[in-house]
Parts: sequence; C-alpha cells; structure tokens
Amino acid sequence: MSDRPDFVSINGEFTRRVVDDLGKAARGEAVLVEAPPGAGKSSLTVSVSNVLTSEDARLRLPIVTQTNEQADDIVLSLRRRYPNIRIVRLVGTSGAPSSAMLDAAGPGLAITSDHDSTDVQDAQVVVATARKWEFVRSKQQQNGSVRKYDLALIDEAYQMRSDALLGIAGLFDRLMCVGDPGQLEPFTTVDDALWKGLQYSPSRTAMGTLRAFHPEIAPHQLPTSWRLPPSAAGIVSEAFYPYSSFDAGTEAWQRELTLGAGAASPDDEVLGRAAADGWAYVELPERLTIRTDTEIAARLARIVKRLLTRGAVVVDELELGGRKLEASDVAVVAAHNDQVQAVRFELIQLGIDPNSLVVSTANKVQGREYEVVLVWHPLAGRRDATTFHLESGRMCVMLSRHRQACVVVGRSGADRLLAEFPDADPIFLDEPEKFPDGWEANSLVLDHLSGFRVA
Amino acid sequence: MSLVDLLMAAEAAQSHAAVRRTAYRHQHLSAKPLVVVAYNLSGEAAAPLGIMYGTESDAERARLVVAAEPRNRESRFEAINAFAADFVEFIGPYLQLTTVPKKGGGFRQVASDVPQVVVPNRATRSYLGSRLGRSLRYLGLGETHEVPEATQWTGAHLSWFAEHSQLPGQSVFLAMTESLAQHFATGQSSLEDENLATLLAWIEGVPGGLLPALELLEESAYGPVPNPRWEATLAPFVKAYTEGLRADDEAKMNLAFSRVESETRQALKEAYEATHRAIGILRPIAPAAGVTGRWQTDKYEWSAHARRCQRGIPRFARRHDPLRAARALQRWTSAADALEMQQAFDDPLIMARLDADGRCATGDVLAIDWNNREVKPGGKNRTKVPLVELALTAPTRLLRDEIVRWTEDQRVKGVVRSVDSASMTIAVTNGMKALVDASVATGAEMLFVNLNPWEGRDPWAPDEVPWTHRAPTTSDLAGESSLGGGDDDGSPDMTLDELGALPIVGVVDPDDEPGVVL
Repeated sequence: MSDRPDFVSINGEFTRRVVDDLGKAARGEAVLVEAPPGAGKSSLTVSVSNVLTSEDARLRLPIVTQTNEQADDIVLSLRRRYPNIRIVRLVGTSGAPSSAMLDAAGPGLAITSDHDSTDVQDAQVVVATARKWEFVRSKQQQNGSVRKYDLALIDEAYQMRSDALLGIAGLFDRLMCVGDPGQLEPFTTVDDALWKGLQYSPSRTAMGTLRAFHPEIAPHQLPTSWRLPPSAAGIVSEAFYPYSSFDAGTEAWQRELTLGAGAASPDDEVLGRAAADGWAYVELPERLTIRTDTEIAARLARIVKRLLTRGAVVVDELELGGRKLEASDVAVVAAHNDQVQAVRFELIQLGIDPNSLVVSTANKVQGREYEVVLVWHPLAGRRDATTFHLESGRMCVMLSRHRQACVVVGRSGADRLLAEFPDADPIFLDEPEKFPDGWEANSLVLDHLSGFRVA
Repeated sequence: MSLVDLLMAAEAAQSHAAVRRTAYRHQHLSAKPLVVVAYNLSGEAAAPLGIMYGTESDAERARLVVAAEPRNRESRFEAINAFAADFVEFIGPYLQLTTVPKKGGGFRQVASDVPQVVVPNRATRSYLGSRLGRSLRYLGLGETHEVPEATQWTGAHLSWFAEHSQLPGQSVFLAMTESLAQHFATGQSSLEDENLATLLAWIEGVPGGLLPALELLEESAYGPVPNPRWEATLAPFVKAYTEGLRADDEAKMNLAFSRVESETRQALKEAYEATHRAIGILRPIAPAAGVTGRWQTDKYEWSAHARRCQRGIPRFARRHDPLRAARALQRWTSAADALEMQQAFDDPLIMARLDADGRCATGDVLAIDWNNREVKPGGKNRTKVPLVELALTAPTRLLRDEIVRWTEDQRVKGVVRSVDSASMTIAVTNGMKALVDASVATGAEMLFVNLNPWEGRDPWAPDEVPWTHRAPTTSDLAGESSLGGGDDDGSPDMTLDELGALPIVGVVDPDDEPGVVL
C-alpha cells in the first residue's frame, strides 16, 4: 500500500502544479485540468482556491459554475474545508431560494444578487453561475467600463457551451478550467447547422473553442478515480477515456458490499453477482418495445426493492467498519424522463417511496455519486440507434456514478442493433470528430457487460 | 411524439382525412403574400430552370421566368435578373419608413408593413434564401461578374429572409408544408408531410380513394428538385437550345426555349396553385392571441433591415463572427422557449398535448396557506409565498423543484415543493396578487404547467471578441484560412481588406429596440 499515492498527496501535488502554471500563465492564457469521474475535481478547485487566497490576501477569486447546484456544492465544500475564507455566493434576481445556501449563510458566507455590494468587495472568493457572470459583465458594460479580474476558475468546463464562455471571458484575463471530458456535452434546441465547422461555433463546448484557438494548452490529467471501484475503472477508462486512461484509487479489498440474508430468486442472483463482481447485466429477452418498457421498469423496481429489503453493509476506505446502506445511496438512471416516471410508478406499486432514493435521467445525475446504481440500458428494446442513444457521454455518466456496484437492465439484441443500424447523421465540413466515438464506446460496454450476464 | 399526436395520426389514418391539431392559427397571413415556386436544375447549387411568382391565386396572372439552359450564364441570369427586378419591385413599398414616437421619448423609424413570402415547402425556402440568395449577394463585388443592381438587392433581401426564417415563430418567410403540418395531423409520416401535394390531399380530400391518389401525388413534390423523369423529358430541348446557341440559329433557340417554357409553366402552375390553396386553407382559421405580437417582432426586425437599406445594399459576411453567432443562438433559443409557452397558453389543444406528456399537474385545491413567508434569493426580508396544496386528479411527471405556472393566469408562477402519487404542494413565488384576485376556493380544480422561459432582459452581448474565441496573436478575420481553400461555397473569394471593408449586417444601432434586433 505504501507505494500507492493517496488522495492527499495527489491532490497536493496537482494543486502545486496548477498554482505554478497559473503563476507562469500570461494574460490570455489558460490552465486546463481534465478529470475522470470522481477524481477529486472539486477538492482540487477548493485547494487551489485556498492556496491562491492565502498567498495573496487582497485577491478576490471568481469561481464560475454551470448550474446553481454546482455553485452551492462548491460553496459548501469550501466552507467545510476552509471555514476562514470569506465567500460570497452571487445569485440571480429570480428563481427559488436554495435552502442549503440559506442554511449555510452566516459569518464568512454572504448571499447577494448585487456584484457591486460591499459583501462582494470584501470577499476572497465569489461563486456564481456563468449566466450570472454574464449579467455582471453586461451591467459593467452598460455602465461604461468592464473591471477585469486577473484570474477565474471555471468548474465543469466541459459542460459549458461556447457562447456561455464568450459571454464572460471578457471579464477575466486568465482562466483555470476544470472538467470531465467524458461527460454529456451541452446541447442546443435550435438547428445549429449554420455554424458547423466554425471553431467558435456557439453550440460547441467551451473547451472545444478554447483549445482550437489555443492548441498550446496541454491539460493536466488527474490520474485516479476515488469513486469508481477497481471493477469499474478499467472499462470506464477504456471505453470513455481512451487517450487519458486512469486507475481506481482503491484496491478491490477496500470496497465491499455485504448483502443481508437472501434466497434463491432471480433478483437475489442479480444482487449477488453485483455484490461479488461490481457488475450485473440483466438481459431480458429480445423484443421491440415502446420507450417506457414496463418489463424493464418493473424489473428495476423489483431489484431496488429486493436490495432495500435485504439491506446491505457498505465497507470502503472511508468507513472501515462499514455502514448500513440507505435508500439514498441507491440511484436508478435512465435516458428519458418518461422512463424515470415509469420506474417511479413501479416503485410506488411495490410500496417504495420513489423520493427516498434517486430516480433520474443521466443529465441530472452528472457530478453525483451513489453506492449502488441501477441503469436502464438506453438501447433496450429499440429499433433504432440514434445519436442521442449512442452518445458516449450519456453512457459514461450512467456507468460512472457508483462506488460499489452497478446493475444494468437491458434487452438482448442490442449488439445486433449496433451492428445493423446505419448512421444517417449528416457530416459537416471542418467539424471535428467526436471522441470517444459513441458507437465504439457502446460496443465495448456491451462486450464488457456480457461477462456479467444474469438471466 | 406525444400521445395526443399519436391519437390524431391514428384517427387521420383510419378516416383517411387530416385532423386539426390546433384550435387556432399560429401564424400571421398577410392580405397579399408573394408566392414563389421554383424548379432548379438537379446537381446545381443555384441554377433555376424556372421561377413562378405572384400575389394572385390565379396562375394565369402569375409571372414566370425560365432559363432554357441554366448552366449557361447568359440564359441563367436572364431569368434571375427578370425575377430580381420584380422581386425588388414587390419589396420596394415595404422599405418605406415612417417616424413614430419611441417608448420613453424620442422617435424611431419603422417600416410601415412587412413583406410576406410564401413557398410550398421547406426545401424551396432553403433553396430560395440560403442558396439563390447567397449566390447573388456578393455579385458586383471584387472580381465578380457585373449584374444589375436589382439582382444585388435581391441577393441581400433573400439573405435577410433566409436568416430571419430561423427565428422561431416568424411569419415573414413561410413554407406551407411546415405551416399545414403544424395545424393538421395526417396519417403519414412527417417526412411524407414535406410533400405539399400529398399533404393537401389529406386535408382537402380527393375524388375516389385517398391511398391510390397518394401514390400518384408522390410523383410531384412542387420543387425545387425536379422529378427526374420529368426533367429527362426536358433534356432534348435544353440540348437543342445549346446547339442553336452555338450555331447562332435563333429560330432553333426560340423553339427550344418555348418548349422548355411551356413544360416548366405546366409544372410550376400546379405548385403555384397548390401553395395558394394551402394559404386558403389556413386563412379562415382564427388567429391565436400571440400572432399579432410575433408579427410585431417580425416588423421590428424588418424595420432594422429597411433602415440598413437606406444606406445602400446591405452586405452579409460569409459566416457569422463569434459575437453574432452567439447572439443568434441565444436569441433563437429564447424565442423558441417563449413561443412554446405562448402557444400553449393561446391554444387548449397545445396545452392538452403538454398535459398528455405529463408536463401538467391537475388537482383539486385542498388548502392554500396564505401566511407562509420565505426569504427569496438575494433578498433580506421574508415575503409571502403562498403554499397551494393539491389533491392530484390526473397523472403527472412533474417532480420536486420544477417551475410551474397556473394555466388560468401565467403570471402565477411557482415551484413544486413536494409531490407524491396523490398530492402536490406548490409554493407560489410570483404573481401572488393575481392568485389572490382569482379567489380560488377550496375544492376548485387547478391546472399547472411546467413552462419556464426566461422573461427578463437578456444580458448585453460583449462588445468585442474575448481572447478565448480568437487566435492569440492575430486579429485577422476568422475564416481567413478558408480563403481560397477547400470549402468553396460558391461565394467569391475576396481579399481580407475587401472582406474587412464590408459593413456587416447585425451591428446594433443605438436606436434599435433592445432584444428584438439580431
């Protein structure tokens, strides 16, 4: 164990490297950190913020997030780790209050919607969404002059759209961008064919644009996933991070899921397999179904119920003595909202409160982690394999949320669908290829899952 | 596809007749729109065989221009220039500006009315605007061929139409397949609905059986790509025209021309009449409440174009620059969101579709807690946030933290605080007064819908391209590398100086209305 780098030393090492690079970066330059799932992105952001603010007592450091939830998360982890840093959470003027923020407010954390307020002037770290920063820039522009910050940190930069970066980059001379390149990309609802092939196309990812214009940026790669167990790190790394592979930060013996007493039912077999190997693939018979396939929804609900009824003890490097698995440690992830609803309905039928666990779409569980995750395979029962269903980011999110085990429920025939369904998407000149390729990633995943098949 | 659409498609398929999808018409129709139908030579980007256009439904009174050999520049531009002269004449009156007082003082110049151009299908819209318009808009510049000024103006106007047609909810440049499919459900696929001939058969009915008639009608799609079999019949005449041209045999040329013309006239006449019939189907449908406001937006934007036209032929950059592209994306996205909400509140059938998708919550009021107080974000004081508790009477897909509006009054906006299979609690964060005034009684039914477009002012666009969106050391125009490179889109190559000197449409004037000008 001793030669294995631990979380603290890796985090410290990367914090030092990033801070060094930031010191060397001139105006109009950026430092980029790419991180696989659960690699300690937010810890790095928090540590870098701490080093920067303690090196320069007069520094005011903006942090840009993509959503209000991410902003709240960063504020909370900053508060937990470094309670002495004076933080302002800058919020919009409309929308519902976040109770987590209201509860955390107090000495050292102010919440305001006004960037000109004294709270902001006195703060060391200012956390707000990209949208809010865009309004800050817009207001300063209307008043005649944009007061630039020297440096800003952008969190989840790979989920940011290029137009969002365009809206705020004028506020900041230098950037540190942290993100996970394997996750779901931002999307647009309008036809973006007009801008295809342009490096600055507003519908591209912000990092795509930044790197196209600044090819000299060599991203730092965080090497270790502290979330994914060794059973998952290999396949997730191979399928979704082919150019920057990573390892699990733990050994197989450190993670253990011990189930309560069971019987010889099919669902028990599924759980047994998942507990033992970290994976289980429930393959229902081949059938073309509508999107809300009730058989899959019911099966997912039954496995959840069985898991909660049997109960389980989770042992990991943080809880050496083990702790009881709670319903909130379990998530069911699907591709579509109506599938989420179908699972919730089936859970209610079995007498389980669907709010006690997490049942959600891949888009909404990005950045979250759970002990056990159940996945509705996006290709199950389909007659077509569209770009949406093949998107590697979606599959990656689904397969990389768990700390202990992942159960995938699908239908056989998905491999044939992959082989037979023709790609009919238009090809645009100058548009960069997407890597990893969704088709290839899905094939690798299916291949991997076939080794953990349970009837 | 929503459940309502599936049911309507099934009903249409069973009865062999289209079913109305909406209660109202969601597009503006002018008294005399200009209908344009065209066939283009296959395999060519913008080489019209013929264009028929006019404002009268009687095809005998429509104008027709024909190119007997569209690959020949003289022949092609004879047709294009004639069309362009008429097009500029049609647009002319709409460029007249009148001065009106501005809200908040001062005056502004607006166009008195907006031109409306109607084409049979989306493909013709894209052909006319993005291909023909684009191919004309650089002519007369740099090393390009000289063309009459009207042709240059037409290039500019068509380019404006092409760009504006991307704005969700616009009624300036309508494709009838799109408009009819929005208002009618048929038993065929949406791909098949792009054929105006079959779409009209579903709506108008045909003598005899519908299905055999569809087989025949699928032969014609009304442009711009000609039916290959029909186009093949033209080939001998086109060839004869060229032979006559080479031999300087005017009689042979004229004969060939007249044969191409009569063939093309016959084909375009069908398309022209069908497009007018489509307008005739939509016109009697009562317009939805939001149509006037959206037409007003069209008018503001057209006015901006008309003002630019005062300073000469507006020039368009080959590609959007980063600022313009970002602004267009944000503008079109927010217009799409606003349109979705406006149509839902205007039209019960569209609201029903959202309900069938699970995006509504229906229930009887169990209680309303008027005294609940909360601190809103950024606020300091606790303000009243009434809690509406509903006993759900229909299934819903809404979950906690989703933003909803009351279908009776969209000012009443709230957030779902809790939901289970039988009940839902909604915290009303906006429009509390409207809710009080409505005096909802316990036991009354309330319907909330999950629609939440951004309604505030958009932030100002940045005034310069930031360092992240351009190469570090040059301030050259992006796209420089493509000059003379492989991606030839048919527009002439200009030097960087020439490109830089073009005034780029889309720069906002100080007196432009905020939020409505691209």
